[in-house]
Amino acid sequence: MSENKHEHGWGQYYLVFNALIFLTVITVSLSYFDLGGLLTSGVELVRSIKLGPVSLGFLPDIEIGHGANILVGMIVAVIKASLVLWFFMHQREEEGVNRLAFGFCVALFFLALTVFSFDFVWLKTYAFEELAQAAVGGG
Amino acid sequence: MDNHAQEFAPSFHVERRNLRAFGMWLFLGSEVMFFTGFFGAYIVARSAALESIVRPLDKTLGALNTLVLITSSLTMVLAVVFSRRGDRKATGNWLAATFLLACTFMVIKTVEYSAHFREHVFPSTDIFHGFYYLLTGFHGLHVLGGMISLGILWVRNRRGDFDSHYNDPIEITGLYWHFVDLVWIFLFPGLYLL
Amino acid sequence: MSVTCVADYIHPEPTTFFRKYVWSYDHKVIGKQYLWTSLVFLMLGGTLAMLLRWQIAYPSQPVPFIGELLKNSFFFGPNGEVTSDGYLQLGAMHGLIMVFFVIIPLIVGAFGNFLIPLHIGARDVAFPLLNALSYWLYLPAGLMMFSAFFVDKGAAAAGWTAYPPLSDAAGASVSGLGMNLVLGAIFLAGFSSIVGGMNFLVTIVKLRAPGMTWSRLPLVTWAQFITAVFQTLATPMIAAGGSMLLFDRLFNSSFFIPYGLHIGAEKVANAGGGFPLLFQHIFWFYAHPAVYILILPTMGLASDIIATFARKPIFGYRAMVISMTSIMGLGFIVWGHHMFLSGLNPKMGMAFMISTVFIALPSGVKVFNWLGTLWGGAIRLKGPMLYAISFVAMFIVGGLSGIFMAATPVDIFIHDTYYIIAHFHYVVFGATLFAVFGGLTFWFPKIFGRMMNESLNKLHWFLTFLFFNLAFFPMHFLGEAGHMRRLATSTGYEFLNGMAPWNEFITLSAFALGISQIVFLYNFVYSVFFGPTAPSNPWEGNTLEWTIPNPVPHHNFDKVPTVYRGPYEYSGPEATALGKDWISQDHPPVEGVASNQH
Repeated sequence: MSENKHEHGWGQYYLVFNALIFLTVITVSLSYFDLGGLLTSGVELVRSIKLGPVSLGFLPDIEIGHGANILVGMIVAVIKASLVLWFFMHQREEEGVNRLAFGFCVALFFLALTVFSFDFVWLKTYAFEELAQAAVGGG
Repeated sequence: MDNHAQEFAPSFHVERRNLRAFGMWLFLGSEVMFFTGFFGAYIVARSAALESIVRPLDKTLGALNTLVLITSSLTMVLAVVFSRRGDRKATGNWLAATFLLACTFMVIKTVEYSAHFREHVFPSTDIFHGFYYLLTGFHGLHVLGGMISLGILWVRNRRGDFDSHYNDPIEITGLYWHFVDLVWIFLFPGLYLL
Repeated sequence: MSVTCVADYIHPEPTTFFRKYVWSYDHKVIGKQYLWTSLVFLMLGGTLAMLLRWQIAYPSQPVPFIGELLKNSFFFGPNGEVTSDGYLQLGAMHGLIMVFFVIIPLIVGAFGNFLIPLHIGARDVAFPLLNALSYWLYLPAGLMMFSAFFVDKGAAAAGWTAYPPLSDAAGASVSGLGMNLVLGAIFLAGFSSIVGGMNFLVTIVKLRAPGMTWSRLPLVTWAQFITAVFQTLATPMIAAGGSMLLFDRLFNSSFFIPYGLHIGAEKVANAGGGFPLLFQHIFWFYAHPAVYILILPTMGLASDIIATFARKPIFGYRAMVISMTSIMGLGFIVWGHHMFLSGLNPKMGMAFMISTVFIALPSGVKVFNWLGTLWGGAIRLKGPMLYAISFVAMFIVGGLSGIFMAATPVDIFIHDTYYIIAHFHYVVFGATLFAVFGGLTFWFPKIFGRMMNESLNKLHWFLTFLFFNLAFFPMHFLGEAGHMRRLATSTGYEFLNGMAPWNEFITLSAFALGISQIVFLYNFVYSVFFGPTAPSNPWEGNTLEWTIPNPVPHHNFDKVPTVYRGPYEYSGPEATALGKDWISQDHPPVEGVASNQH
């Protein structure tokens, strides 16, 4: 790894830093809004618009509630993490084997999360609903 | 030592920096898997619960800590850059800045924890606080480990162990420190905001 | 960054006793440390198994000698019989010790450490300090594990899988401090395993000698490579799961405790909201890959031994490597087959069943490759070869019974019966330990510089093979008849009464099996000190470790070798041209002979 290859101006790092701060401010401020509710009412608004014969009334209701916040929050977090990985951790100039090592783990990370959640969402829907309700209700 | 190395010099070369960086990336990979267990459990506990298990936390302190950690990532990367240039003084200063920011993080964390303790909120209170203490606790341990390494690096840098040809420990500690930041980037929205 | 030579990684030869044998950086010494420690643990773990078997065959009868001696302490009752609580402790501890403190350290710690640098032509592993650290984490972890027997309420008793809520909720735990100690020990051992695996990965990827391409790696090293991937990436999961369990136990959080859990009539103190099933996911996400950690390295050992004693190139080297790599990929997505009966989503059960059946394919490929290697070879039936062939045979039995379990409908019937016990003992004892015996006898001349007694080896092989099969094969019948595992006394169930003679037979065979190990122990220890001095290449092998003198010098290779050919070029054109049937990997190409270079 030659020295020149590493010579990046500070400018780049400050830029990334500013982006990270900016994204943090975004997530924090978004957490004060109910994005799901906004989306739902936004869709309703669009549906109510009538321009002569043209209407978007066929659009379905979208009610994902708090899910919208989680989705946006996680997308922002992934962007931030990628910025850190790519620039601060110099993953963009790493050898292939290092990328592979870390990338494989990230893939396993998502595999585990997907399978775990898949299993438990099923449990919630079919198996636990009544039992758990009774348990929660009964204290 | 040098004589010995000369005597049995092998006929091929490996960049030591690459050796260590690869090791560090593998270690970070295993750290990812470590936190996978916690995150997976947290996601499951939230997504399979019938009513939200989330309890409010102090967003301000959380956000403040995020800013502190992101800034410490910047100071760390600057320490790495200067150590590559062989600028010992600047390297030391940026390392110290990183260390101080890490301390700030821990202080804020302590303030947060003690507020919880005053209100008698413990891991046993409910499942959410269990996860809160688990995730932030293990993250805090990682910060603590990073602080120790940063302290050692600062001393070694002052002693003159590093120059533009040899700064591997700073480089790989940098990787580790950014990883600590990386974990927090997910913890903060996951616990405080969403 | 400047190019730095690996020469920096050669630590100077130690002069003091402490640096030479205790805090040593030398991979060969660390390998030996692992070897001795895990052999001691193997004996202790085996003793626990004997006590288990005694209780099954002669329920609540005083254990001869040991029981009389240790009345009312540990797992013994007032008459020196094994109590039912004690039985559960023995079962859990036998499993945990054998998996985490015997097999993994033995085949990865001992063989991996000793062989990897020698096989790839390196002077040491990439990070000698971490290597030493890995051993010195493992040893205290092992001691911590055994210390659990000495605390109030005894050791862990929730099975080796430590499923919550049995292992978790304060009121439910069948043991107190012992369980915490065990979890701590597993955490430490896991850390040691991660550090070791990472070290091996870096070593194999970065420190191979010139010419040692991936297709010229001995299969031992390939197997260790795949194992190291599992170790580095799967072990953290159990660290996470164990930490959460400890958190639950120490701070009364409720990660694995559901709402409204009652034990007896009493509601547990924890707030609830967790899922016991979650622990099984986390545990098996690690523990299934761990199953491959237990078998893959020995597949490598057996491949080397079989090729060497059949005097033939390994049949299908490439297929071997591809099958091991696909085991790595598939090994991460089959963990659910341990959970068919635990409330897993049935659709996922189907997916896991399919992936599990798929993972049988690479294992089958390997068996055919071993058989193909033996086919038509000029077989030298020495001790190591007998062990290695038994490895293949036992692996076939254990592998085939595994396919039954992979099928959900069959698994529903045989889950948690002796069929499972038979299956994994065929794999872990029958296959793994036979290959370990093979590996020990095969590399003994290189490790200790002396030869073992061939006749005693053959005697030990015969006795072990015989009594192993007598002890474990009948368990298949018991399992099919519905005999549950983890059952302290089978007298309470009428349908089990007819199996009592079988149980007694198994126990007697198991005792005979245990006693026959004395042959090996004697042979091993005697040969370490008084065996005849070994030549540097007693088996006429090709791989690099046989090119260096005995005892192996501190720096391994005076000059780092250049590798010209694959590891299994037995009876090839080049070897024939030299008038022998083997040719070292670093032998320069023979003039005028078309070499089989790949």
